[in-house]
Amino acid sequence: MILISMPGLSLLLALMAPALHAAPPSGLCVVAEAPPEYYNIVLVPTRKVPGTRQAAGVATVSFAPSPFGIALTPDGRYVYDLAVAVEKLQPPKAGAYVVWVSTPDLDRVVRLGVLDAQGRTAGQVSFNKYLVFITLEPTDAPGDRWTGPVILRGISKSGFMHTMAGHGPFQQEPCANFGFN
Amino acid sequence: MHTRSLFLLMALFGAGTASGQWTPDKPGSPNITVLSHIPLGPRLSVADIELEQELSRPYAYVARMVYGDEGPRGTDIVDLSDPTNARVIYRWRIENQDLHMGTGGMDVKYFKWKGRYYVVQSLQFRQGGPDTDLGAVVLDVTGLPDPAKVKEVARIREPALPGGFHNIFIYKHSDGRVLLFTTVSGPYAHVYDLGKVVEGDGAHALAGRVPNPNEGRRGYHDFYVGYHPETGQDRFYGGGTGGYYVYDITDLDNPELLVTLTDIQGVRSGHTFTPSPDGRYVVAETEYQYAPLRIFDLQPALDGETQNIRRPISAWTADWKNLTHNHEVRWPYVFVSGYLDGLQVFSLMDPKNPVTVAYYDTYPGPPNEDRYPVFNGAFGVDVRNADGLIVTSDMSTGFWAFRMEGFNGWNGEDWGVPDISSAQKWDAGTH
Repeated sequence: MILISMPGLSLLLALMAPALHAAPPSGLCVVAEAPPEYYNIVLVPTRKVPGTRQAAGVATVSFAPSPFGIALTPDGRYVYDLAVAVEKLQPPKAGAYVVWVSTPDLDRVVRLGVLDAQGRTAGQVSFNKYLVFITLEPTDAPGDRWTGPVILRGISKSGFMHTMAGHGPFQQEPCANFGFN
Repeated sequence: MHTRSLFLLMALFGAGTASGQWTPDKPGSPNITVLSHIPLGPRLSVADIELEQELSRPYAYVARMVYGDEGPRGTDIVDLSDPTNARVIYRWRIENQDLHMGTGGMDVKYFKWKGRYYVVQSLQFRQGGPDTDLGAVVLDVTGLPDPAKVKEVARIREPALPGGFHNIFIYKHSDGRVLLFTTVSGPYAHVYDLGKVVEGDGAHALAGRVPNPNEGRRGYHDFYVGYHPETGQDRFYGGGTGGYYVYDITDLDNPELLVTLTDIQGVRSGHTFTPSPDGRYVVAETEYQYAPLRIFDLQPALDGETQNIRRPISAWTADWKNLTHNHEVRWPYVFVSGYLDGLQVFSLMDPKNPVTVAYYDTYPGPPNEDRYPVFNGAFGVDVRNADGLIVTSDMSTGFWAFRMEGFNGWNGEDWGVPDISSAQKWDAGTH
């Protein structure tokens, strides 16, 4: 017998949700406009830079379109579209807000883009587990790594799937600080 | 008397005598003097503390963590050249702090090796972010008080045991090695040869493991290691899954279990566990609200009458509604960082009747509503044997330095016990 815990069941149902919603009578695949919760990465302010403390953001994950149904990298990893939207963010007095995506170990980094005047940018990510974060950079010039302070951060829902190693007293540091309630 | 009744009575007795309740005109007992207080940052951002023992090196090390909503992850170095005017002179921080998950700095200890002084900061980072395999960072602090001379010299990683080191203890073994004992996410404690770590041979620094007979997911929560003069043994005292354990680790390759303390009412897992200088009595902590410190007499086990001890001979608490945390034994005194009750000191002059002798409430606030209620206030405590200086780290109010009237230093021989405490004698050849 396979037992699925309630959180696991919730996750499974959430992952199935697009398929369930996208079953029109015609049989055509229609993806719901508003993705379910598990496709949203909440971005939480670090509250360390003036003008950013009230900011709130979300990175929305969707499957990158492909004529073959699923988009993959040449080495076989899923490709996702990532749309970032931030509200209540004061325009920087100098520099630019840049969105980054990295693996949890920070060993691979993608510069997703610069937030526009509406606080939006978009790009693609092909990591399994990853961090999404926004930094205040001196300029909007392209770069390989961030140099400025982190103002918002979030973690992919897949990033919260891990072993129980290391859990114990004082390990209940709030996941909400990373956008996971 | 039934053990449970004994606990209740002792707890109530302790509550009646300690009275650590903060009031503006009486935050502590009259025999405690505050020398310094440094607020260090946000609420719930301070963890353990370590004080160097040499008067010529007046430095304290404070671990910084994120247990609340914000804070740094690293170590603060406090200069106590003038104990009445303590000041932070250096801050080590993990890089990319805002991208790390987990508490960060937790326990902190120092050691001396070949004439140089080092600090080991234990670290815990959760999966999902960077450095989940990082257990500790080692800083060379020989050049203090010049902060520019503080240098990071090593990092200890355990990729197969993610989650870092929760607690650490540094012990100068009778074979001359300086050993770092660490909690890991496995059913044992790891032991590292710190000489190898700082000399660049970290790949071969793992010197041994001390098992936990109960083989829990994490073997130990905290420990103490001390020399036992009567037998010439190096003894390991560990609190963890199932209770508490004493091992002979004279031969670190073959740890020998001497005593177990399991099947104790109210104890599923042990926390801090500290012996008296002669190794007969132990002070045992558990990490849940309402738990007192339990005092056990190991003599029946050391005499071979039994291997397991399960009944304490006494218990002590500042306030039965709260919880006491770490402690340092300077027989007959036990210096306690008592979370919501602040600094507490009790005497084990009669081990069956612990008596509160001093206190100062460092935390004038309520229990948590957003975290475990009693995990706030005084977290760590340390004592300088040379002059009796007491330091405490409070999770929310920061660094404190105290004097206790009549306590101007500690040498075990003055009290008729071996001169053995957590303070190591780095320059002694052997014990």
